[in-house]
Amino acid sequence: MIYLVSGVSRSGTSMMMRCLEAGGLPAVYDHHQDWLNVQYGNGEYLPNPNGFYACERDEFYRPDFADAYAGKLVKVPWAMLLRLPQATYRLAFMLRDPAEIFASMRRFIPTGFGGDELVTALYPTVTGALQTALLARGDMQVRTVQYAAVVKNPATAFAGLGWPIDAQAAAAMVQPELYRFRLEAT
Amino acid sequence: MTYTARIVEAQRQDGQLRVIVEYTNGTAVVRDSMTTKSAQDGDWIAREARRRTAELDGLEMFAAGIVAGPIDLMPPEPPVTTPRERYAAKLTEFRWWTEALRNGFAPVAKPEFVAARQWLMDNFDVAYLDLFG
Repeated sequence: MIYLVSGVSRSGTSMMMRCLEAGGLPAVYDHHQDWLNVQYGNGEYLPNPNGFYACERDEFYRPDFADAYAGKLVKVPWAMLLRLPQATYRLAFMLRDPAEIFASMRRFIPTGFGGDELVTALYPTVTGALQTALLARGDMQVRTVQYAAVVKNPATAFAGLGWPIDAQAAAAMVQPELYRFRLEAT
Repeated sequence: MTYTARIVEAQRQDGQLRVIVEYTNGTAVVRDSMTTKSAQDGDWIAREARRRTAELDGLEMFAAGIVAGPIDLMPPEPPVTTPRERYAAKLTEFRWWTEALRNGFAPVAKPEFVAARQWLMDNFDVAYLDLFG
């Protein structure tokens, strides 16, 4: 079993990784994206103050990916999900109001977020089709997780995953103050 | 009306032959000259006259299609053959509009932007996901 977290950038994937690691899943990540906090952060704002919990993209092309990540937790770029080799997966796919995602992207990298920004404009279409295609793989149990719901009631959200984690420990890592750019009270 | 041609004059000077040809479509009159230092084949003048009349006819047709007013600066869509190529081309256009919106060059309700987004949603296929990368 490989545990995956994915979603469009700025939809709470790093928060999810941090929580699930605290809940007991052995997470795999490096710090190659830490420079983003330096490049785009300042005294008042850091894009991801707790880190990005990401791996180098090359990891997902490893021929031994399934063996190397068995039993592990890893964050996967959404565009890579359909390219993962056949294995047994559980995926937490993060969802967030696309307007909030766009606002967060604008604050993070004002000059544009590339392909993820385009996806935001087509959010329900793309994320819906992606989930359907992932289920069609037949080897992936997909749970969609609303970012706002995790922040609002984290213990319930983590318990609802049905994953072998300490839901309370995971929930304790949620920092509601980092849910920025929210459009309405949750 | 298409152009016709006629020889107006043939001048010999300093070892060169200069032939002046007049072209007209009944409205416009164009005079060209052809110069040679040596003998040419018998079709030399007619061949040039055919080339030049075709050129002038084409120019008239092109000029007739030009309408005064604002110029559409959008690049024309490249010729595409497959649905995937069409989607990629539309995505490129949408990216262009997104940039224009971000930079304040176009309002968010710009019809072209809205239409491009709707087209991308209507024609999306999960096989196109990599085009967003």
